[in-house]
Amino acid sequence: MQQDKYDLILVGTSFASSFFLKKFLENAPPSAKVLAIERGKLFSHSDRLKVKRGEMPPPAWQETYLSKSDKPWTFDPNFGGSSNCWAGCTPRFMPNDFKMNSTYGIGVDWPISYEDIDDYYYEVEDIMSISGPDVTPFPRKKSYPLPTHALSTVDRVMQKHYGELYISQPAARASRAVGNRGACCSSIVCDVCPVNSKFTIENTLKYLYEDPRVTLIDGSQAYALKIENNVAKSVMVRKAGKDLEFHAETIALGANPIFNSHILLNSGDTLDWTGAGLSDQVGTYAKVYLDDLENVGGSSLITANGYMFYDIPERNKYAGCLIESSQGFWSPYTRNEFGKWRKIALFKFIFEDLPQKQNRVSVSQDILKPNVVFNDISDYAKEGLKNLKSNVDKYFSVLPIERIEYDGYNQESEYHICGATQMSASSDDGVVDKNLVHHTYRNVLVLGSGTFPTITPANPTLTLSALSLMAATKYFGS
Amino acid sequence: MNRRKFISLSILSIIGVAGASILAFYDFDTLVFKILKHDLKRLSIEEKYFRKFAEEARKTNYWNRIMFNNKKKAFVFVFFFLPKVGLPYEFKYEQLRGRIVGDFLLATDFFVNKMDETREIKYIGLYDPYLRPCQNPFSNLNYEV
Repeated sequence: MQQDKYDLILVGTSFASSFFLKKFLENAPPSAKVLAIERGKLFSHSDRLKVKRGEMPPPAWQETYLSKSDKPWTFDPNFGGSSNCWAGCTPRFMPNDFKMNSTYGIGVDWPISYEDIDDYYYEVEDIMSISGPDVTPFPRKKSYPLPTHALSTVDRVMQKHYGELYISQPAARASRAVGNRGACCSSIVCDVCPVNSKFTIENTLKYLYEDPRVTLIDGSQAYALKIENNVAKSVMVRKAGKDLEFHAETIALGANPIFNSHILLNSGDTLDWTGAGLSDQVGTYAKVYLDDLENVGGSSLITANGYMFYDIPERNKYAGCLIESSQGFWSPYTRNEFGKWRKIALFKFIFEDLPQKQNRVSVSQDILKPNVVFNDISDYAKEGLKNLKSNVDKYFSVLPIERIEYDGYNQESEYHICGATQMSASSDDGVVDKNLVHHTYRNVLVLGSGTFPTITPANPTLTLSALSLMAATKYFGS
Repeated sequence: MNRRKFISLSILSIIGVAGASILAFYDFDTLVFKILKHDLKRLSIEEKYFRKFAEEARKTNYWNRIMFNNKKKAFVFVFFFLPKVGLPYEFKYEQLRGRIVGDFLLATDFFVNKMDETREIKYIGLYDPYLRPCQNPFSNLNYEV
């Protein structure tokens, strides 16, 4: 057993950990000692490109969790985590997302409000150099750091009718070259951007891990905390088959929700909600065939977000929906009809969900592998899906539509792992408090989208990154 | 299992068996050629480009890379031979067939030339954003709106 003592141990190097680390280092003395534990390695952007070009074999797939459900929980277990494979969609949450119960009588209210994280939203938007429009459905007081992406011709018709409810998507796909990043040129393969335009930890925040105060160990999986009298003393780590133990004053769990909750469960955490409420959103596609409108001119993968049935009074009955206007996958979509090749639009409809207690993470025989149980989405989300066609009929009639083809099935995943360590005012209803400090272990912070008490239709990354900045500020002081 | 699910599963099973049988006699390159020849007959393209596209796609594992897997190939095979009488999933077949045609046209200069249906179309090479980034012909780089 190795014995080392740190001021701060961070588990993971993805968004949640990196934004927390950034804020910590801004205010930490030169003598501060930080350990960052990464289960994978740095799989560089240049190597990822080689894989995509067929010049290098992809890394061998490894089973990371156990599950009998068909639903995949996808993440990148390498340095920088899912910043390596995300699409760079960064809408803010709506103010009502934080008060679902008091506004709609649905789910629970968050113990924080939109106003509480507003300043941190701006900070993340600056760090990620977000491209976005001046007018948005959520309140903002200044322009985004980079100019907005161009809408397509179809989007422009929609925006003309719906104004701030139909906007160019705020995105971490840079509309202009910035830092180490190129300008997005709409290549439509954002999981690995060919021109390194989207924000990743590697291209923007890797320097944090080169700070002399920080030690990074990779190829090392944290699997438990040693707790004494409700104080976490150390982190147990498996590296190349050997167990290591690292001591710290403060521990921040920044792995994904499945592994954060698994570490807590392996540590003897008995809170009712630890591991419970594992969630994702629900998405489905529709192709819209247009009569006399060519869909051209958009400048990024997802050109727009529609909010027409996101935050409406009916949200007291069924799930809100965020609309994405998309350009395709790998290649731009087209229409196989003479004279109508691009008279088509592809929309994705993403519905919120409510955490279901029976969807959960538990321990398994293998201390390194969580067991994941996912039974079903909520009735609330199902109702939202049932109302999709009527809402599309209502809001899309401004387009010259020939016909609409609905996929008729839900996507297997929205790739947003949420819940399982939700924040709450009391330990009866969640795992962490409003500052992401564990209700019982007061020197442990649990970061990331696992802390969301309700699962909004909007992409979670911007918000979870803002929460990390807020948590570090509140915990360590500014 | 309810009736609807039973019928759906039965149809999918029949498609699977039929698809596998057809695959045994018919290769995907030939099918791609036939689809392109039929669907693009009103455009001016030399047939040799249809074969070139099919061959290049096979050799570079193109279909798998765009997630056009064997299940989808079998599905297209079966529906290609079935009469179009409003069968369930027929629209899905048309979407997949359209993907083949669209991806062929993306490998030509047709979209770059703003879909001019009167021009003779030249083959460029498979559309690959990793070998040739920034080539989305419908983006703002080609259309200022």
